[in-house]
Amino acid sequence: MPPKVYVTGIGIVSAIGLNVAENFDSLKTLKHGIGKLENFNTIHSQNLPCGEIKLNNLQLAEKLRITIGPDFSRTALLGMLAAKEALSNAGLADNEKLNMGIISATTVGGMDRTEMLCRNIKEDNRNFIISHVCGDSTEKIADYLGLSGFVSTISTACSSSINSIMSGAEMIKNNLLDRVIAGGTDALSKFTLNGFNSLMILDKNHNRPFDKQRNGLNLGEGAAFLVLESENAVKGRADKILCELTGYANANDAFHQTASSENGEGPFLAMSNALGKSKLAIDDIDYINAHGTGTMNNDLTEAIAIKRLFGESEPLFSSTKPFTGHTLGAAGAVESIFSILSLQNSMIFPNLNFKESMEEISIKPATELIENVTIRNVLSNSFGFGGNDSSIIFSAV
Amino acid sequence: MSVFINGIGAITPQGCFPSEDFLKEMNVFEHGRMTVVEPQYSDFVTPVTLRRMSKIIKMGLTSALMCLNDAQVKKPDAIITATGLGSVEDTDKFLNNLIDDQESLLNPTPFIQSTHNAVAARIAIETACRDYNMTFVHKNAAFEQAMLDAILKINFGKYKNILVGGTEEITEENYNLKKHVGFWKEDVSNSELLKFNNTRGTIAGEGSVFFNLSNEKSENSYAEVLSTKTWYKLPSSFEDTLENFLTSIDLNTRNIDLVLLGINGNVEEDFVYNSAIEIFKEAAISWYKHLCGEYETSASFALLLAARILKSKYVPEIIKFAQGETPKQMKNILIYQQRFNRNHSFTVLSKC
Repeated sequence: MPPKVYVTGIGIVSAIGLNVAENFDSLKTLKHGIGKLENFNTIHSQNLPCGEIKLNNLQLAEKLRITIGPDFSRTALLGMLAAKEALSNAGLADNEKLNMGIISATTVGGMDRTEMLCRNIKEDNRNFIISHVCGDSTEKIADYLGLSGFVSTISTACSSSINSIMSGAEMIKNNLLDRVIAGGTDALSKFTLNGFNSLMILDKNHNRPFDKQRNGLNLGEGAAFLVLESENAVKGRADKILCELTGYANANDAFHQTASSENGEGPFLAMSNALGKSKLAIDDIDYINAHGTGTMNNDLTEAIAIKRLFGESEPLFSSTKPFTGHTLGAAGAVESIFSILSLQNSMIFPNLNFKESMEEISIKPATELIENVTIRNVLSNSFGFGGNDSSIIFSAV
Repeated sequence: MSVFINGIGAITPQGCFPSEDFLKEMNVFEHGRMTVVEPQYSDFVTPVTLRRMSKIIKMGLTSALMCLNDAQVKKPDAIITATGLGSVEDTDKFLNNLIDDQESLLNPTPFIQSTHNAVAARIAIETACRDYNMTFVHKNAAFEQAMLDAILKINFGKYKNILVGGTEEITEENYNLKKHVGFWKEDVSNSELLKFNNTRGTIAGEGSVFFNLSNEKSENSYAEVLSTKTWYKLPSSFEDTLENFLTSIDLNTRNIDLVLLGINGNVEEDFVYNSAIEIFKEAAISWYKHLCGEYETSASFALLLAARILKSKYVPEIIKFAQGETPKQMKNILIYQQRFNRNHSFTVLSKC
């Protein structure tokens, strides 16, 4: 029997808070983080609202108590902040970090530095060139935490960080590692902002997932990491267990580079295979933290896939992207942590801005904060470009 | 469970490796930058599909399809790719457009193709493979980590044929950018790389190599993959790390007949291989980066070479690094590569 995988630590930084407590507080009090961009110059700062973290890189470095050169991308700094919190939350001693790996996910890597400096390369700033590659941010985090063994990075667009958590769980289940810190980090950049804008899927207003009038997504930035441990590794520290990671799956829509198929085959396969892995029945899922980006295409296919799998009685579900924006490579881990907060606090965070169901399918997310609800198992979805679809299930212990 | 390489598809600076007596001669590149010999893509992919595809996607997709042909597999059960930078051409194109045109009227195609999983996604569409689809991007360890993932998936039992590949491209612009940080020996020929190994820098390369990994041996099997492992930093001395690794697969250093090292002529990193050269005095010490150039997923080129050697029992003269005797038997090959003493990896392939 492969060992069980437990979550023993979580850490997050997003537009609604610089740690888990602040994020939880914002979710409970319905305080979203979408607004005008302040940290970098773009012609879109006034017209394309984003979920931005209102600390500049020097302020982030100060919080981390490090000095930074041009080779520190914002992606690395955000990742360091979240990963540090997750590790300290798990309460691991230094010798317990020995057989611990790190698997991070990012889509932009050091693009924020590259786009700022590539036309102005000087002797004292040229090291941004070596920090451009995705893996560099992971190594910065590993160095900061003192991890040196298995260091890996995954990049599969918007599903990246569910995949890094999944990959971490596989390493533990195959007895290759006792502990893994897994998650993702992505900073806002002109590159991604203009990329999504060129696809005409950015809402100029606050995003409205699953609503009939939805008109696209808002980008966000953030980082989130989970400490995963095997049942053996956590012996004697049972009080640290936050939940069990019981199911996960990745599937591919194999339909189009950016659009998803009409019947939501990829999302359907991801959700149903994750359920299969967890050996849970559909009735056991009490809440779905949906991918729900707010684009016409995603929300409809996700709704269709949910209906296909759960039938008429779909569980309570919501998209929390109106709080944080779409944090791309970090989204899967950010929403995994929101899912764990739901589990821990018997609470469902609402899908802000929803008013009216889509015409094509009758489905309605939770629109208000629901408290004192029994949640045994949460399913969280992340779907990305290239038809990359992933689902993950966290269960109460 | 045993894992076999049952098919290979390659697009490399040395061509596609079609024949048994490969690498009798090497393609020489005079100016420090090695580029792939491109096949006739339309032999594998319809012109409609090729339209608008950038080079890395063409290379990745075509080498994957070549691999499936070679393995006689129509549809893989899972697709796992590795790349350090993804599509550099698309990334540069989108970035330049957004800077030059002040963030207006941008064409989304290069943005879409710049995502690191674009090759894996394209292969999924072409082969209608709706199962597991993953992309590892961790610098020079990305390919081995993709391999490891495939081995775990095969061991789990659900998957019989997994397509695993490493794909990278070097563009003029990216080459020039990396000049600023001393990455290259400019104007050095790959055939004379070792003459210049007392200076900084190496030569640039690119390529795409895919493997069909399977739990079953076939008539076309090249080799068995015994194990692969990566370390960001070595946990102890090189000797101890190697011994522990080999012990875990019931081997010792004397069982290794040929060692393929990631030597790249850079004085700042090649010294790391000295311990390996010392330990494997008895084995045939070989190298490969003068054939493919330096790029993040060049370990896939090394694996191609090792698999070919084990299948044909033929060791090309031009891969020999040290003047040793050609080993009497050719059973186990160890690949060891690292960059700047970081992201070390061992991979062992065995005759099957």
